Amino acid sequence: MIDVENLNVFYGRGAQRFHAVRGVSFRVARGETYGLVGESGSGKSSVLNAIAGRHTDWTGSVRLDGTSVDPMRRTTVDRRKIQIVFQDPYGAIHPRHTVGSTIAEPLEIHGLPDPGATVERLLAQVCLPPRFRWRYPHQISGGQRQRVSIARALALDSPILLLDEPTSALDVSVQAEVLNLLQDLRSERGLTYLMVTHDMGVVGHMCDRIGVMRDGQIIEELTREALIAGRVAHPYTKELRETALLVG
Amino acid sequence: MNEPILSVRNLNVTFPGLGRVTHAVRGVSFDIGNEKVGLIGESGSGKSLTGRSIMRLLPKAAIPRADRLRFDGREILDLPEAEMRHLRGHRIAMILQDPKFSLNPVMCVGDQIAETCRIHLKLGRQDARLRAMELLEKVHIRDPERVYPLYPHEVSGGMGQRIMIAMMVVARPSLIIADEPTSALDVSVRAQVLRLLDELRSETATGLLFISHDLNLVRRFCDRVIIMYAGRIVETLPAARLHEAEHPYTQGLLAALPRLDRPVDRLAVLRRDPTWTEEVAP
Repeated sequence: MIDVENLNVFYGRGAQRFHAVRGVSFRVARGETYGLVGESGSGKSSVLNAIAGRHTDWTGSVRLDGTSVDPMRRTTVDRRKIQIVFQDPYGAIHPRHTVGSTIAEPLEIHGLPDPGATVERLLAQVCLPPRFRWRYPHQISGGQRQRVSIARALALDSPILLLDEPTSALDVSVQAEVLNLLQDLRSERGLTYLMVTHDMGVVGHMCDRIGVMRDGQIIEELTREALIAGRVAHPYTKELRETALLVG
Repeated sequence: MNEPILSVRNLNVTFPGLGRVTHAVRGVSFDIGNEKVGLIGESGSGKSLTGRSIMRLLPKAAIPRADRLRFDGREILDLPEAEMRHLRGHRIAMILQDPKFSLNPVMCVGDQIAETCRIHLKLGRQDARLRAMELLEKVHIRDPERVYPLYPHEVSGGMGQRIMIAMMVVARPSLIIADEPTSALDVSVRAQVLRLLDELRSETATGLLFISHDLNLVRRFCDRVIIMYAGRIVETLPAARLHEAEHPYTQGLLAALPRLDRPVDRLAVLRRDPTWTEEVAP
């Protein structure tokens, strides 16, 4: 579903040009969840932004659902394949738009019929009551806001969801609810997830396969089973893993 | 046990509003000696307000009340603001999540440390500068010459926290209130900052109140854990025995945490019981 080959991402120009991602390749199958973990500055968000089309200065090949995308130009069809859920749900939602108009916006942009009914259906899917469509972001909790941004990401029936630290701004109890919701949606709708996070507990819970990034490269790729069993090769992966063990 | 460094009895923080009063902290009591105490709770549980009450840095609308708020044998709840200001920084220090908001944005970080040296150690300008360099080195900043003239917006989060800690090394406070000091940091940087806090504490008797929502981190780093829910303390237990928690709220939090050593298909969702907000934990 997502096929990334030899991806290089750059920032800046001339002598200041910074090579943030160096030759990253990975594949995510349909219905799979792939996790990218690493520290800030490791390039994991740059990979996500390049795939999402938020950053245009990259080389290599990115194929979404079989067709490659152009770094500089995205077609409407490309755009409908992919949606992002951001880390900070307050920053990602317009503070002066109601929940209803936030979710309806992608529908209007793409000229889909009957946004009203779709918004109601989407709210139900993320387990929010229909009356929430009249609320503003500051009138709902952080977990509810993250549900709103998930509902917006679902609006176009995009097969791929990019999740950029979707629960790191949430409390543990709310995080559990949102992660469960994401898993339910994935199995109901056959979604493909690419998730960026630094929380190894979340990665081990959500992702089928994991790429560990450091200094713009994937230093180790491993399966969920290997991560849980502790079959990790790189000392850095070991260090990350230990932070998610409660007893030990 | 000797006289604790901090002793809090029946602390209440209320926000009077139109028609109703919001009771944010409800009858909180605890002591801190020469130890690391973790304070865990969700957003809105009152954990940060508890920390800020001790610093007397509450929002204007808040009304704190307590039977006892004793620090170093002194009642501090009614201390005049001028004396309180002397206490802050000298005797009680606070580290916040984002050092950018704790540092002066228009003064380079080295000068800020030097200023602390001039105030606390009564050093001259030149000596203070040298001392600040030493301190930067002491908090494991590799290239003090390069870091000294940087402004807070030019340093990373981990570097900023280390600079905050460098200032505390000078003042040697006997109580440190750390409110989510490492939440914004990467794993390896987090470990460095925690190690520094340990180094700082090893030199003098220091109580540490470590406010966090990260159960894993608190279990590993702290000696004792206090768990707050809806403004109350529901449970206090040794950090090493956190997994033996008895209160259903603590158990619920632990169950909701995704863990590599206990993989599950679905995470348990916390069921909130209204009685948790009524009863006071024994």
